[in-house]
Amino acid sequence: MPRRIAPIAVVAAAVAAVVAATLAWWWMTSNRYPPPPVPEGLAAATTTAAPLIRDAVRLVESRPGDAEARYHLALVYEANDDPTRARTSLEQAILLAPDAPPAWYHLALVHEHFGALDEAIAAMERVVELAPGYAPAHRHLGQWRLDQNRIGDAEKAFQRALAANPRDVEAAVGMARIEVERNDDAAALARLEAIVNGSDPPGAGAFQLYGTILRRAGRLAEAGAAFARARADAPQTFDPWRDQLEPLRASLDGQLAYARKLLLRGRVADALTLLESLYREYPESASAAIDLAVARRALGNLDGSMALLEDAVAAFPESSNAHYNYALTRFMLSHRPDGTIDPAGLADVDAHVATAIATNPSSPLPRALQGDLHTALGENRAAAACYQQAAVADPANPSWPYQAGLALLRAGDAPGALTALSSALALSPRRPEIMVALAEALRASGRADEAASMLAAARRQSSRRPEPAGPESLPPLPWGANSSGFAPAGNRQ
Amino acid sequence: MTRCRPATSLALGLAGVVVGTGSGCRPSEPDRTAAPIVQTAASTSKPPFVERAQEAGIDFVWRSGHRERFLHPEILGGGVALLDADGDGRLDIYLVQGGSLESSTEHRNALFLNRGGGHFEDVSRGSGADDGGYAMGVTAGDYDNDGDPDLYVTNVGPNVLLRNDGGHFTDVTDTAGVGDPSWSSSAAFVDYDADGDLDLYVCNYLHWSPSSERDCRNAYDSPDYCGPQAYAAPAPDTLYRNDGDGRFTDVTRDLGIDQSLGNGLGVTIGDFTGDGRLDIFVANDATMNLLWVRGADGRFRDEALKRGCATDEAGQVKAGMGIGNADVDGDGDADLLVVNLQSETDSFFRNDDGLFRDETARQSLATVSRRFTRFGTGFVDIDNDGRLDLFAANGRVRRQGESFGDDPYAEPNLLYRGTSSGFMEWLPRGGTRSPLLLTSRGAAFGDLDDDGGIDVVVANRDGPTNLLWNAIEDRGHWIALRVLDEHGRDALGAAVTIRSGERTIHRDVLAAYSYCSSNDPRVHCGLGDATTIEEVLVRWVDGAEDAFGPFDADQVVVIRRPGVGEAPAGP
Repeated sequence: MPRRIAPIAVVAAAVAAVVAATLAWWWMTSNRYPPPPVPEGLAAATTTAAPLIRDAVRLVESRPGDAEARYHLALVYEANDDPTRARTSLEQAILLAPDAPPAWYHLALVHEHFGALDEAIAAMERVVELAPGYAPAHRHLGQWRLDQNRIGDAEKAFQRALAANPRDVEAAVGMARIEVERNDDAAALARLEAIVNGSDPPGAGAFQLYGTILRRAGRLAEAGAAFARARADAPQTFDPWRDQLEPLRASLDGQLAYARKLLLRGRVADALTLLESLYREYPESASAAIDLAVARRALGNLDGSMALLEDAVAAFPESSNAHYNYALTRFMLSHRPDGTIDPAGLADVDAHVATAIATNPSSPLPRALQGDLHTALGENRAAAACYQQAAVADPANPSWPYQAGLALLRAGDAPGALTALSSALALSPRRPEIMVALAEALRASGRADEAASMLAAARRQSSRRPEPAGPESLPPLPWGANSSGFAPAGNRQ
Repeated sequence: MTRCRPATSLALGLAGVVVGTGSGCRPSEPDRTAAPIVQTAASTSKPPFVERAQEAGIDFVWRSGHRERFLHPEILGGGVALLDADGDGRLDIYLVQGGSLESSTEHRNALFLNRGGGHFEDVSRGSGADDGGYAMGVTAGDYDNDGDPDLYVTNVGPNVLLRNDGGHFTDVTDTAGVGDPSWSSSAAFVDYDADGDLDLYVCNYLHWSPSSERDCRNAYDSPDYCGPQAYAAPAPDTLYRNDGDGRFTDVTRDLGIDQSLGNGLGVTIGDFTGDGRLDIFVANDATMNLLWVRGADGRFRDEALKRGCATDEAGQVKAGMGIGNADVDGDGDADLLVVNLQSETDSFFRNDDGLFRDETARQSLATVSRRFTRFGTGFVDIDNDGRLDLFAANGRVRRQGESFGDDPYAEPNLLYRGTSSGFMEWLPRGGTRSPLLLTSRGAAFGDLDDDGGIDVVVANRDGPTNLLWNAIEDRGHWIALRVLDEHGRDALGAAVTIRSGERTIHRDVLAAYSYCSSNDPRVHCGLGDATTIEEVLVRWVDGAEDAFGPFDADQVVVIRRPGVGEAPAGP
C-alpha cells in the first residue's frame, strides 16, 4: 500500500519551492544584475520627467537582465538632463549587451558632454567597429579628431561618414575644415560653395568657414553675406539614434521642440496628436496653443486653427507669435475658392500684424505677411517696402529681397527690382527662380544680353542633376534605423 | 635704425629696477618675423606654484551669501586687482567682496598692502577702499593722471569709483558719474580717444533683480543656478568718456555701444585690427562676442562677426567668460582666447592682420579644458623660457556629474606649458602639489615679489583666496617694463616691442584681461637664455613712438615717456 504523503509535507514542499524560486529570483536580480541608478525621492517626485523615469526604472526592475530596458532608462535620463545616471545606465546596458552600437553611441555622447574626450572617442571607435555604416558616428569622430588636431585621422573619419551618407553636410564641412587646415583654400571654397548652395541647408559653421575663406580671397561683400548667414540653426542631420531622445524629453519645451521637428519632417498627424495632448495638459501655455494652431492649419483645418488663435490673442496679448499666426490664418481664410480675396475677411488683420510687429520688432515674419497682404491687394510698392523691412530684420534670408524684387517688378520699378534681386542672388547664388526674376528685371532695364545670359544660367541651374542619394536610400543597417539596435534573444532575459 | 642711448639704472627691491627715459628715437618699422624661441631647462619635477596665501597674510573669502534661493550673481563673483596702491614700487592686492543679496549683512572689499618678503597686511579699514557693495569685479587705472592707480569696482547694483590719493581711497562715484546701476562684471580702463586720459568700459551681464530670479533645477532635480538664457535679458555695456576734470560722460549711445549687446563677462583692450586705434573685445555668455572697432567718424562698430571672433569656427555661440590676450604666435598682433563652459572647447582666435581664425585645436586647447568650467585666465610666461604659458581658474556654475569635494561647484584649475606645437597641460594639475579644489573665478597675474616669476592670485567663491607663488627654481632670464606716460601713470594700451638677440617680442601695457580682474600692468617678458635687451620700442596710445635701451635682463625697468619739449635724458 502506497505511503500517504502527509499534507504537511506537501505544504512544506510548496513553501520550499517558493523559497527556492524567490531565492533564485533574488540571486538573479540582486547578485547578477546591478540595480538601476535611481534619483533619491523618485517615488514622490512631481517633476515632469518623474513619471517617465519611474516607468523606465520599473521596466528595468522587472527585467533586470534586459539590456534594452537599461538603454531605454539611459535615454530617459539623457533626454532629461541627467547625464550622470544616463552614463551609469549605459554602462550597465553595455555589460549586458557589449555589441549594441546605440548604447556605445550614446555613451560616447555622454562622455563628450562631460568633456571626457578620450573616453568619448574610445566609445565612438567601438560604434564604428560595430556599425561601420552609421555616418553620424564617423562624423563625430572626425570632429573630435579635429579637436585633437589629428588631421589625418579626422579626414579618414569624415571620408567614412561621407561614404556612408553622401548627404551628411556636416561631414562635408568637416572636410572643408581639413582643407583649410592644409592651407588649400581653393578646395575648401569649392566644397563650401557646393554646400551652402545645396539643397540640404548647412549649419552656421559652414557659413562661418565660407565667409572666412571668401574674406581671405578678398571677396569681402560675399564674405559679409556669408557671415550674415552664419546664424543658421543647427542643421537637421540624419541621426536616428540621437533622435530617440526627442520623444523622451519630458518638459513642455522639450515636447514642443519634438512636435516642431515632427512638423518639419512632415509628420503632421503625429505632431497634431502630440500637440492636442500638450494643449490639454498645459492650457496656460501660449506656445502649446499656437503650435497646435499651426499644426491644425498645416492639415487644412483653418477654422480649428482660428478658434484657437482667437483665444490665444485674447489670453496672450503680448505674444507676437499669437498675433502673427492669427493674422496669417485670417488672411488664408479670406481667400475665396477662385483665388481672389474677400476684403471683409481682412478686417482686423492689419491690427494684429501691427501688434505682432510692435511686440517683436526684430521678427521678419509679420512684416513679410504685411507684404503679402499688400501684394494680394495689388499694392506692389507698399508690398516691396514691407519685404525690404523684413530683409532688414533678417538680412541672411534671400526670400525677402526676392519678394521685394518681384513686387518692384510688378510695380514697374526695374532699377529697384534689379537691386533687390541682385541682393537675393548674392545670398543664394544658385536659385533659378531668383535668376529668372533677375533676368526679367534686366530685360525691363534694356539689358537684353545680360538677361539672356541670366536666363541661360537659370536653365542650367534648373537642369542640374539631382543631389546624391540621401540617408533614406542608404543600404539598410543591420538592426534597422528605428530599432534600438540591441540583439534579440541571448541578450534578453 | 637709430640707436638709442642706454638708460639710467636704479636698484630697488629684490631685483634691480632701471628707470629709463625716452630718447625720442623714431626707429623704422620693427621686424615682425618671429625668431626662434630659446628653451630653458625648466624643471618638471617640482610643481611650479606653491600656495601660500595664509602664510603671506591673505585671509579672504569671497562670500556669495547663498542661503535658500539660488540668486544668479552668487555663482559668478568675484575678482582681484594687482596694483601698486601705495606707490612703494610693490604690487598690492585688492579683493572684492560679495556679501548677501537678501540681507544687510556687511562684507567689505579688502586691500592687502605688500610689505615685502612675501608678506601682506590687511589695511582695508580706514583705507577708503573697503566698499560694501555686492561686488563682482574690479579694474585699476589712474583715471586722474596723478600717478597712482584708482579702482573701479563692479557691483550688482551701482558700481563704485575709488580715487587713490597716495594710498588712501575716496568714493568719487557720484562726482565722476560712473555709477552704472546694472549688474556689471568685468571693466577696463582704456584711452579709446587717445586724448591722454583713461576712459572706462563696463561689461554688463543681464537685467536682473532678486524679484526677477527664475526657478531652475539641475540634473538631480534640485534647485540650482540658472543660465543666462533663462532670463533672456542681456544688458548693453556702458562706455564712459573721461572729460579730464574728474567727471565722465556716458557715451554708450552716442558712440554706438548700444548697437550690439550680450551677456558680457570679460573685456580686454588692444589694437586688434592694426589701424592704430584701440579696440575693445568683449566675451559674452551664450551670446556672440563683441569686437568694438572705432571708425573714422569716432563711432564704434561691432566687427566681431566679420573679423571671425564672434563665435567659434563652427558658428557656435559659447559661454564666453574669461579672456586671454597676448601675441601667442609672435607675429606682432595680439591673439585672443575666450574660455568657456564645461563640454565646450576654449576658443583661441589667432589674429592674422586684424582677421581672426579659430585655431583652438591647432594650439591643443580643445581637449583637456572641456572637462571644466573656466573663468579667470591669462597667457603668462611662468618659467621665463620665452614661450607664453596659460593658466585657467575653474569652477562650475551648476551641479553636475561627480563632485570633486564637498563644494559641488569646485573644480581643479589648469596650467598649460607653451610649446612649439601648442599648449600641453603642466602637471601636477593646476601647477600645485595637489590640486586646489575650489570654485575659482577671477585670477590676476603679476610678479608680487619682483623676482621675475609671475605669481597668480585666485578669487574663489565661498573659499579662501589662493596666492600661487611662483616656485620654479631654474627659470630663464626676464625683464619687466613699467611703462609710464608723461603723467607718470601706467600707459595702458601702449604697445611694446622688445628686441633681444634674434627675438622680437610684442606685448601691450595691459591690465584688463582674465575675468573680473585687473593684472600687473608691467610688461613681463621671459627671455630664456638671453641676458640683454638691445632695444625697447614703445608705441604710445596716440601713435607716437619712443625707443629705450639697451637694458640688462633680470630687472624691473621703469620707462617714462618724455614730456612735450622735454629733452631726452642722458645715461
